[in-house]
Amino acid sequence: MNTCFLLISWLPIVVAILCLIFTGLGLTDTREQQARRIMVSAIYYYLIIGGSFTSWLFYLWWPQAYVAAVPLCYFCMSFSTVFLYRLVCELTLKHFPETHYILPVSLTLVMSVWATTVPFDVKLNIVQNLGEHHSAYPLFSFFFTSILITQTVFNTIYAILSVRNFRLFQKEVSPNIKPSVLTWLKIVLSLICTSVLVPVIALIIGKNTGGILQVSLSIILFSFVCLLLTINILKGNYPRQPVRKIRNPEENSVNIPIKKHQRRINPKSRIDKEELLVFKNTLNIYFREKKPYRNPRLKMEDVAGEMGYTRNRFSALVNQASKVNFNTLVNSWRLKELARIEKTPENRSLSRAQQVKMAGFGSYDSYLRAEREIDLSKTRKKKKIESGKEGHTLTGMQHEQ
Amino acid sequence: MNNNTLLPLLVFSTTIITAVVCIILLLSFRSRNAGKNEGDLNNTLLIFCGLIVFNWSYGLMYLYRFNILTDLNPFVNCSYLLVQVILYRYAYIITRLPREKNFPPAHYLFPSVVFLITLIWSIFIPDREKLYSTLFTAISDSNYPIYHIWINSRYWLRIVFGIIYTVLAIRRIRRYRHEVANFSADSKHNLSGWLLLSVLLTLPMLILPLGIPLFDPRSLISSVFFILPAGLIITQMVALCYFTIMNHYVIIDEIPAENDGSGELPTRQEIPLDKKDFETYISTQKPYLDPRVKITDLCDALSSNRTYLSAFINREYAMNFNHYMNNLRLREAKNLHIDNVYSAKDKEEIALQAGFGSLRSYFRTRKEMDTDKADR
Repeated sequence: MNTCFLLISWLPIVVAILCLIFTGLGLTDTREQQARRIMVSAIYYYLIIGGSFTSWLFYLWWPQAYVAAVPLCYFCMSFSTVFLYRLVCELTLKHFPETHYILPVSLTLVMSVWATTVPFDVKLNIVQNLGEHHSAYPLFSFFFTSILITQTVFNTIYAILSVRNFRLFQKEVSPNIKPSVLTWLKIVLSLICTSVLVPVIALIIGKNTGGILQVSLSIILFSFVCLLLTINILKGNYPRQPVRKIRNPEENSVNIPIKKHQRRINPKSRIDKEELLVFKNTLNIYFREKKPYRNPRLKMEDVAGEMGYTRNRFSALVNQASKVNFNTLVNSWRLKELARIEKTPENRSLSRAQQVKMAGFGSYDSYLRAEREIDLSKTRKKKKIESGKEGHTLTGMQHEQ
Repeated sequence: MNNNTLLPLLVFSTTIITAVVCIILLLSFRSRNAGKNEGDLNNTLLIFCGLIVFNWSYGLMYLYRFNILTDLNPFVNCSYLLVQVILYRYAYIITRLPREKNFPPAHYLFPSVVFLITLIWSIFIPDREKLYSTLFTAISDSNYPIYHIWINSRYWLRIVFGIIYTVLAIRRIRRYRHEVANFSADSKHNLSGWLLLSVLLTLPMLILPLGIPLFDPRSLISSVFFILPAGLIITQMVALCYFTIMNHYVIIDEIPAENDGSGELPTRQEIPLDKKDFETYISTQKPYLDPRVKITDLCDALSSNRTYLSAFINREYAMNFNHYMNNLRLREAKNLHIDNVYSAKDKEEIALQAGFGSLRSYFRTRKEMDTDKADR
């Protein structure tokens, strides 16, 4: 055991902590649900990776601490891939069933309870003899030293599950996403599959030399995986939740340009003209076809979700594209709808309040306020044009309607 | 290996690993932050982290491989000072005002002179003496006392440089905070608190160069107190790196966002602005709905320039651009609250619709406005 090996073992712990801090900072910065879920899963993964290598350091340098915290060490060292699988599920837009925690938690509980019944010296003796079984406690010794076997089994199963998820994801959505998203995920999974083989080699070679080889290889693999995950998660380089398509009954299908929106865009990033134009057209089609404004309880989040945007990004796009906020935009559509309702012969028998509600206004007061606000804007605009100056469009979208 | 050698080994390696991780992150985000200012900031921070790697690796060698230290004296004497200049350069790029000249290269002069003097002088000094001057601070046993004083003066120079450049940076940041409020209404990214904090962290870090000449360097490095400067430099690097890669800053630039990169400033005559016209524009175009609106975004439509428009808002409304835009956003949010249908919506949605970057920005602005009202 030399200084160099200690330094190498220290590397993944520091890398995992740094990745955790960077991702934690990213978590405080975003309100987007998908991004938050991914970041939380990544933070759990970094915690368990850090815990796993700390356990290894304890095992080598401070066996008393290892024995005292053995259930925690057992949990971190054996089940890290379960947490990686959870992260892969989030990244590949698959559901992660909580039942996957049952076995790891149960085994850890068994270890916790069983370890309390065995004297401290016996456990210390097993660790100091590098896993040699204690004659008085053969069964416990076997369970206590089964980390390598449990790790191999769990790593293999969860690596297979992760690869399966990725392949399914590739088949389902790959035409609609950027190839770079698939590339880095593929590299991460290749590294994880390589890490599966490491404890197998260690089992074949033997615990003494194999353990050191396993740790050395794992250090490089997991440090790289943690960095790769942090960089791409912070960049938002992962697929967005699938976008529902809007069907036009007359023209067979009018689809939101999924490719454009499926990547996660920083909600605060600048919006270019081309994107604004595409957004304007798409939103117009959506409002014309689906008439979401008829719902008096319509939320910006609903429309944003339908169109495949985050709420922040959608709000910024609406504000910039139409120069009014979502509320005013929806009300302008409702007023237009009201005008159409008024002209329809079968609606003429309805009271004004009923017509207003049909158009999507929550109350008559809301309608009056919306009308006042839009009239006021129109008057201002008219005055400006009359005064000979270049007129500014109240809402580009209203004119296109 | 005992605890006396284990602790400094872990502390030194943690700092070096942090700097390397920051370098990897900065390189990975380089293509994303490809603008001129962003690129400059990225490169400056890369150099900063590189110097940290060098300085702390030198510290590690000081403990374990001191026979190779003799040839590094010129580089160490220079990098101790350069690290402070580079940090100042970083603050300079963010706080640079339009038409202000680029970072003056004169700041590199003194570290370069120190490097050259040490390099030339070291040629004439025997290795044994160079090693003594590097490892020990006591002058009594040295055969070359002036050279010995020169080599060990790096700690004092580091303190002087640290204080001077921190004061310079703080002055710039204070001026910037005032100017940015007249330029951008991005209530989230206008905050330069993280930059101020990162610069201020330099001061407590100076206990390290202060302690080395006063105490035995080896016992100081091996003590628990050494964790403090290491912790501070790690915090500083992480903060600077995160905020740089995530673009958490606003650089005051006369060129509107759409013209970025053209290199030419728009030249407009100062046509007097009519308050009525200005308000018509604000109420019809609602520029405040854009969470990252800058004063330059309004200049084209109003046929004005940044300086004039900023002075106009200050004169007519007795507040800066940021304050003015936030007032309008608050009014917009209030109107949305009044609406029966939308009052049920969560506050965050209303804040976003009103043009705030986040709910936190909304609450902060509301608090500031309430405090202002109470003060009046």
